[in-house]
Amino acid sequence: MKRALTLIVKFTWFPILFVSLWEVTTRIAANPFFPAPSKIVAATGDVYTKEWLSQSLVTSLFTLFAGYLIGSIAGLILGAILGSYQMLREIFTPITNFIRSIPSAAKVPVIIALFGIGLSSRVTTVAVAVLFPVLLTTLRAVANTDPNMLDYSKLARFGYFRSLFQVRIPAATGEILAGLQASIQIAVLVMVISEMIGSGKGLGAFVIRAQSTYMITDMWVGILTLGIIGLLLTEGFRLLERKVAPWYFTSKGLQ
Amino acid sequence: MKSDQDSGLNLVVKNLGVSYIRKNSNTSVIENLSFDVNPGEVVAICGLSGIGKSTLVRTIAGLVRPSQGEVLIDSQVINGPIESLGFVTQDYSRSLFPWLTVEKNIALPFKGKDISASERKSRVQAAIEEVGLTESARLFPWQLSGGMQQRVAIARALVMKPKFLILDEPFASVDVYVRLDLEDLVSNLVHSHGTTTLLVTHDVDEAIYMADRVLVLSGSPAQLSLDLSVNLKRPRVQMQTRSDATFLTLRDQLHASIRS
Ligand SMILES: Nc1ncnc2c1ncn2[C@@H]1O[C@H](COP(=O)(O)OP(=O)(O)OP(=O)(O)O)[C@@H](O)[C@H]1O
Ligand SMILES: [Mg+2]
Repeated sequence: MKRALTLIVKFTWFPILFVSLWEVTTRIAANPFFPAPSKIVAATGDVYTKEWLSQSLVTSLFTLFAGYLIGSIAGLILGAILGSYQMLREIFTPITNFIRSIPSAAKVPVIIALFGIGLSSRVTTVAVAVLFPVLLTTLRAVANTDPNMLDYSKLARFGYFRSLFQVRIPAATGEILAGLQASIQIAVLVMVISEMIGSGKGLGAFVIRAQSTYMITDMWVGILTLGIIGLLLTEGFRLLERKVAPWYFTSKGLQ
Repeated sequence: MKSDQDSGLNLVVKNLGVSYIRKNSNTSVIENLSFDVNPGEVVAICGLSGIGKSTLVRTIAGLVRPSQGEVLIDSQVINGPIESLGFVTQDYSRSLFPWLTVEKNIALPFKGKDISASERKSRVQAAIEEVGLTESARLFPWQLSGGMQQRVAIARALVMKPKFLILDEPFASVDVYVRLDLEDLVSNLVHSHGTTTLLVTHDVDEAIYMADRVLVLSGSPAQLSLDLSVNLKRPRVQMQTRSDATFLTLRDQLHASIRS
């Protein structure tokens, strides 16, 4: 009982302090662009019951999940192929490096030109932004399998597929998961950008619209909702990856 | 001791040369090396660190391509690992898979082989028992001590009933008592199956204790500087064999040859 209490205090004292300071500062400053957190929370129910819960939140979550899934699955498959095939890797490395170097936001116009400004275009933007970091971390991890493990795979006379699925990919799990996790933030960021540019749909568009119509509290509800989505996804992923590869975290002494 | 049904394979190393490419230049590690090993023989390979022992056995295993000459096992020219080979590599702990339990690590060589599930199970069980890891079968390699990991690597090499076994410094990182136990364990196993065995070690006493013959590599590129038969009767018993007069003479001969 006492231990549980200490634990709660340990993890909550700083957030409580932070929010209190935020509350006090915004009340003293009384700047209309920085409403007090209590006002934002009070307005939340209101904002959520307006049409935008169905429109913005659902659209954004769909964009995020569809884009992330498509991008990361494509990245995993291409990364595994390029990582295990040196010849293909040499052919494709310069071009992937180049495309990767173009900032995601700068790719948006090209994607809009190809897919218009609808949902498919936003999903594609997220997918492309997630694809490259996942492809690259997977490629690197799969290509750099411990030579001792590869020797073993040769001694067991494993062919290409067995060596890929029994040795290279499991050995790369830790790094692949790290790449997938880092891509969550990228996906959220790029989703917001794609919604802010032109589309008029989703949380990104909602925030921009609220801002330009001086619905400042609404804007803050949107911003905090985005933060909470990012946080929940990252934490959810952390739980998931411990289910997928428990050995990796315990063997490395990671938490 | 030797059973006839599953006797080991013979090895012929003919004018073998191996070189590595470093900074665009070829460095020859082994040159013009020839020797034979008879079926069922246990041959130790000694030499200073960096002389080329691992390179030699990796070439024999088919993991490194020779630049000259050839390796024949059972009259077949080697150009890749063969089915009947068991190999415990020098970095054994890094070749165990951390995502598999001890049991599954040992069962891995069966993947893609035409052996029934029940046969696999009983052979994995037997291998685990042989190396004394029954209690730890469900643990992961990183939950084991160095000596236990070594046993896993040995069991994994033995589970396919190899007719040719290569051990590259298999006992390097365990304390002396565990080491003596493992030496006896491996000796008993290879003798009861008549497995042809190459044992790389820098420990001269271990080489004499375990082997029928000791080869010494020296020089750069490495040459065979001594090929010594060990005429000590079997079964050998650690402390007794090691204080035998013949043992001590062989030991002096080997030490002299390695340093020269
Ligand atoms: N993959 C490699 N590429 C280039 N040079 C190598 C490679 N592997 C080994 N060598 C070189 O070959 C020589 C022999 O190495 P090897 O590992 O065969 O020695 P060793 O006798 O097994 O030594 P140790 O007792 O320390 O294990 C060394 O000079 C080493 O630097
Ligand atoms: Mg070596």
